[in-house]
Amino acid sequence: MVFRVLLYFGILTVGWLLSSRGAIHENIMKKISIIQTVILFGLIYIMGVNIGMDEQIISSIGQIGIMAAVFALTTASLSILFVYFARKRLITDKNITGGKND
Amino acid sequence: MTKKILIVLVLGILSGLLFMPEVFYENSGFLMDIGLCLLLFFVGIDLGSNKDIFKNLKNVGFKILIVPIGTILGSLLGGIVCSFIFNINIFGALAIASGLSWYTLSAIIITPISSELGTVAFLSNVFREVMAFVAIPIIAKRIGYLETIAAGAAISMDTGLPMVTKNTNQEVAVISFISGLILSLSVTVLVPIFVGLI
Repeated sequence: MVFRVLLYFGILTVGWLLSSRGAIHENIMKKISIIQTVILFGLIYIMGVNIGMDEQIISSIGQIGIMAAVFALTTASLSILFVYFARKRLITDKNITGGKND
Repeated sequence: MTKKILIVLVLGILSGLLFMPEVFYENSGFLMDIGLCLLLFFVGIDLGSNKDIFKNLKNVGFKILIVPIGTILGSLLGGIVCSFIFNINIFGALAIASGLSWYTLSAIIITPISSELGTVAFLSNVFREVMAFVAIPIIAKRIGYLETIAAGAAISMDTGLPMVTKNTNQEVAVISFISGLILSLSVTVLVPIFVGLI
């Protein structure tokens, strides 16, 4: 677990440092969005294959879909609620808070 | 983007169902690890190319930390609530909730432990992104600007940023980027921690 956390942070930091010091070739910088998209799609494809080959998931996809929707709704709603109550107490600048500030 | 991602995912599922050999399944964890490390490296390069990150953080002040902290706490509480609703492992639910809309990373880390939880993580974080896109204009108008960031969580620094900017203002756009950065970094810490506790 610790190894993974350090690995992810390490890789992010190496990328960050190389980029901020101008060590990344301009051509790569221009294509970085495309490179990320290609890798992303590759990962999603592999993930899809994993799901497709897992009989347990395929047989329960209906239940998983509902569970995922409830997870999304619950986590997003409670995040909004926490930020709403925190900013009401701490931030008064209406230019930043917007909406109904009272 | 979300539509394309869903298409690729469905293609992958169909490939797995119809013709992919068993040896691919056995090595998929290794392939995902390599892909993830490459992706994180390029995300780091992307972040390093923006010289104004720390300058913006100083200008806005430390009070903006209530946005990422509130977003994380709300999501974790949501995970706990869902663990009781669906009677699943509490750390598994917390790992899913810690995805904070970064569906690729959270699902990739969780899938080697449990394909089912990995799928819920992927779908729930995709749903959260889609929901945020739909709800941001309403949240900005009826609740507040900072809450638009909480809805999308980690996407606030990339795909969600144009939506936040369009429906709020420049100051909130800066807060959105910084919060998204903090939330994205938090995903890389929180998900592996909760996965390790499953």
